[in-house]
Amino acid sequence: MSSPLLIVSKGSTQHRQWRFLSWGYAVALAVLVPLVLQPFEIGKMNRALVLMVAVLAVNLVVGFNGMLALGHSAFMGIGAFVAASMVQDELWDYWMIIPVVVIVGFAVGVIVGLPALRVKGLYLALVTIAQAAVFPTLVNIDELGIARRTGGPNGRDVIEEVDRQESGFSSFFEWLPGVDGARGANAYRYWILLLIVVIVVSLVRNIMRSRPGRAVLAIRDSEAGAAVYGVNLPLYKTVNFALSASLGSLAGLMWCLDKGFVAGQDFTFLLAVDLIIGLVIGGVGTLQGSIFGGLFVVWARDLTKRISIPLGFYTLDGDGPLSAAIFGLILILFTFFAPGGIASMVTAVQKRIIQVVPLTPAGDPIVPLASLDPGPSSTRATWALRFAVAGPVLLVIGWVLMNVDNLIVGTLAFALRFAIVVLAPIVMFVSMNELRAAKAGRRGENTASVNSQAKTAGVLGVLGLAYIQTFALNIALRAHHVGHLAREAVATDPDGKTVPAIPLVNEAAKAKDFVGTSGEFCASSPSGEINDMSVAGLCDVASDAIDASETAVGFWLIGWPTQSMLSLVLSIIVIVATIFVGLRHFVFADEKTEAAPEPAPEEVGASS
Amino acid sequence: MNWNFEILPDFIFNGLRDGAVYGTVALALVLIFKATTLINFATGELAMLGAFFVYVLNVEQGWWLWLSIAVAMAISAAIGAAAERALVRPFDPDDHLPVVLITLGLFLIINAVAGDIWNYQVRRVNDPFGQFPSWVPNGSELKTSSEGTIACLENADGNLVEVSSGTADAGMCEMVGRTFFEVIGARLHYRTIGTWIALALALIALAIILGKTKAGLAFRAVSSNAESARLVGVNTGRTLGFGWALASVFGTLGAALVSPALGGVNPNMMLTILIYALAAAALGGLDSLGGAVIGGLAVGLIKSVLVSWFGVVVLGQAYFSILQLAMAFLLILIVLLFRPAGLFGTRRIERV
Repeated sequence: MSSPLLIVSKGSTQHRQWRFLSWGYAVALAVLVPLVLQPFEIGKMNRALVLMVAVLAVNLVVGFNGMLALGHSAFMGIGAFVAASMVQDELWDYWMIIPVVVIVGFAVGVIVGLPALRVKGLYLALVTIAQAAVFPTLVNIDELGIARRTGGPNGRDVIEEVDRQESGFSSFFEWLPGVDGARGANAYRYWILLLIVVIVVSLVRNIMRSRPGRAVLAIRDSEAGAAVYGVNLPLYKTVNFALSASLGSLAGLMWCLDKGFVAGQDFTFLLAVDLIIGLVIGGVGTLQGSIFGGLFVVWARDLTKRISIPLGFYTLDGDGPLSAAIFGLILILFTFFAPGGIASMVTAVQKRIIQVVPLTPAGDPIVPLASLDPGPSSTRATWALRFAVAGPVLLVIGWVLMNVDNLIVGTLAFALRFAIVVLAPIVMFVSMNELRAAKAGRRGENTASVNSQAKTAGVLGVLGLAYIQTFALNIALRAHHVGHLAREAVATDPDGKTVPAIPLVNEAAKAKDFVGTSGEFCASSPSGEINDMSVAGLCDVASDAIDASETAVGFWLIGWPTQSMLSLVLSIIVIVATIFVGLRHFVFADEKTEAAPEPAPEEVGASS
Repeated sequence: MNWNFEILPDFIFNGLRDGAVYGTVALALVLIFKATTLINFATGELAMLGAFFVYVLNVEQGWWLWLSIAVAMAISAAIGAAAERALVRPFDPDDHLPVVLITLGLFLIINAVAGDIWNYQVRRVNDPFGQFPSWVPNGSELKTSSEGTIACLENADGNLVEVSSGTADAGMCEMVGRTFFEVIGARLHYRTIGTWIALALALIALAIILGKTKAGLAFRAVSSNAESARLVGVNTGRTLGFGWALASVFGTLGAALVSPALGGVNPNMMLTILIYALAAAALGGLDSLGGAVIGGLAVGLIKSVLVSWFGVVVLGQAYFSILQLAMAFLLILIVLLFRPAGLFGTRRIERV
């Protein structure tokens, strides 16, 4: 697999299909989060979204401008406290506060950045580290109304303006996936935070492609060179740092929005170090890096927290030294062995699979695609076949491992089951390409074997895809059906503790398993029965199941939001179409290749 | 405005004592900065580890205190040199990000390991300068004491109190030694004098090491121009390791001197001291050893006289005591704004 499996020219149909696929998966993952995860896990994702913006803010200085900023916890704190005070004391709405927070952050950034950025060297690191250490002490000053506004050492609750229960306004958004179930509040916040993250990431992306953005990058690559080309170094550095500070403040506002509570001890130097760790492990100087970094910090901390107690390590507030030690070790290991972080690993994998050839201004690929073709000795079809077999095999292994009751094994099993979702489309792409290449006679004496391998792989890929769709449909229908029954039962049985509500709701929860929830919610009592659950809880589970089913049906195939009956019909049509179109491509392709120079001597078809 | 000059000398003495500690830690920072133009953010944690070695050897193993400190210094030196060799040397010193990340990682790991071994409670240590030795003449009346591992201090009324509870307990706090002189109406504690003497001795030792030994000569050569030093045959790598070892020794000394005043050792003891030390190093100039000491004393004085005496006593604003750390931050900003190279640092001239 020395050359990539797919080589496409930029903007070609295949490239567009590939991009569509990648974006589709990204959107699908984003939609699945509020549907699949437990409420507290959605809360963790919300924290990850907050940290994504914060890491991106650090990235703006460290990654894109090459300066060392180690104190963004202070900017986050400023944003959070300004937001808290505006919401609580001035009764502003969150949306109205965003400009305020951004401007305040910018101003503080100028004050801190201006002295440090005039001189070359580590001075910004020095100033920002002091700033991170100082900030938590400042909120306690019992003067000028500071302590009154910040809540002093006790911190401060912030009324959830965005909580769907409190504000009638947000019920308007109940159509968002996950918002009208038991996890409604968290899911609703998830969508708001996700919206902010998307806006911020695209904004930063565009800034970095603009003239000032290029200047900032030029400063990172060579200060002297940038200065020679007329870049005003202190100005650009300071404005960039101030922008980063205002993004950090925005992350603080998001923190406030997510947590509903702000306190000085949340914004210590350790948070700043977390941001740096997220940045380095995600990938310095890349936008995706910030996203991976935010996710990494939250979930790695969660994992270390979970294994800290069983292993007998000393813990304090559930967050022991173990996680700090592991974080420090990971930081050092990444600095040594993977300075590009997760982002560069992902890029490396992607490079193995697809290579996009840029275009000349005239619109042709800069290198003729045919010259990049590996020719008769191509092993792509073999690899496609291997992937095609690997998908189902991993699926089976995943199913078997599902039965092991262990956190890490369970996560692994989930990932294995998920592999086919990623592998099947790749297999189909590569097989199609190989068939085409064979038809064009680029496989020489190997045409026959390439044809047979590609066909087998393609058929397996199609079947895999159809399997995923059918499976999703099946479970979604079950969840839908049982969920409706449960909702009816709860409605007719007000105390909700007798038959038939309980078994039905349990069923609903089980049916919901596909979409990930393990039924923990229902089986919280030792006997596994939900005898201690209120009617409201039952209703939540029931409507969750329905919600999940509707979205599952709609999501997989047609896109949501559609009504369930329509989804069902369209789903079946799409599954049939998948199989039909897919098989036509791979099994019956020969009828059209008969005119090809060298027809395959033996028709192998789907015999593997 | 309450210009209470009578208690000013007390504040000055306290400030100079704290300042001596900041200066010692700032020396550790500057030694590493001179060698590698790198700010070692793990300096404080390495020093904290040294203080814990002193605690283990002296309190847990019952060694003689000064021997414990010497051994702890030696262990810290080895750890510092090893950290330099294993973690810092593989990287290009001109690329700041990786080395700063390494020191941050070290910071986290050392803090966490110490936290796991000794947890986060404050552990009492013995004060190397708790009471005057018997041969010191003209010490003041017996006022305060410590016995065993229980630290005692004198409160404003002249009663002996146990530090942790703040309650007077004559049984726990016996008078066993003299701890201060009366100088112009203020108490010059033995701890203060001892810290000064220790710092002075350490500085003399440092001057001898750097000025008279071959390793010191190599260190000076490397810090003035690493490439030229390599060309004339100096083993640059080993010299840098030597610099880190020296820095760890100074850090350990500072931590050991300050831990009794903090009530004991704990893994987070050096967090704020590191910030003061950074301010001291910035004030004195990041590449000036003498500047670090003077900067440390100045930071201690500013903190004690300007913030605690002027702010809290003269202006009567209690919140000024919270502003001590903010003062350090402000000081760094002001120094960078008006004299980026610090008071004694060399100005860097960038040639393109």
